[in-house]
Amino acid sequence: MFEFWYFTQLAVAATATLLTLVLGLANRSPNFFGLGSLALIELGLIVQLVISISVSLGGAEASHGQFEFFTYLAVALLIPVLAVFWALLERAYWSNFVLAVGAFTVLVMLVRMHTLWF
Amino acid sequence: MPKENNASESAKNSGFSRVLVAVYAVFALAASGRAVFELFTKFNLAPFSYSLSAVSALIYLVVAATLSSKSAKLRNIARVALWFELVGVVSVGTAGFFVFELNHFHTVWWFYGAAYACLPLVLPIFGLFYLRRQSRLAAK
Repeated sequence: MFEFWYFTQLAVAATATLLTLVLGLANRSPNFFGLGSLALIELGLIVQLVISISVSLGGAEASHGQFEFFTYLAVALLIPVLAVFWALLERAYWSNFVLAVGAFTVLVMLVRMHTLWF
Repeated sequence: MPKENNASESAKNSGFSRVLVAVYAVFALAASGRAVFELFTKFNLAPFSYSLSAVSALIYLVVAATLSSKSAKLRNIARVALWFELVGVVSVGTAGFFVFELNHFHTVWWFYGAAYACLPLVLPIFGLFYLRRQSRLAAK
């Protein structure tokens, strides 16, 4: 888990949370930017997965539970996908808030993953 | 009250419930993950607290599944679960001051759910509020 990548992901997740909240408050239906920000989070998590697997193969380990760390990562990977599916199925303004919940959940899980790793 | 207005209010209310359901789904996921982990790795340390974790996980699952349902019967199940959750989080939070096990080994409801930004305390209130509004709108 590279620290630089971790902070980038935190920034992306925080921005996505705020952006989707604003879009929801502005009564927009989920649009390119809102959905795209969740896609960015997903992309970041996939990169995180690749990094984590490769450093693990290199012998590094999460200092507080390797298994827990990867469980968190696996579940986090599912969340943006589910949130985006939901928003595509129900294209109402409040779906932005569902996206915001998803983005914020990933944010919290990232913080937890950071404590597990270091 | 004009009918259109009522319909848009009802839509707004149901949108609100979908967001609540999303939050409850996250909690169901987090609490069941936590409960399964605790039950399998350290159940003997604090059987009571960890059983409570499992119960709260179950409650979150039930609420997530029933809250925004169209069927009044399912919404009644959600209502019962929400009351159970509210009473649970308040009593476990309060008992934590007196009972060593509850104080020492955290459950999801420890100290009124403070580890989860007190959402466990706030969510059932929102949920019950939504159900009340929904049945009022349906009665119109």
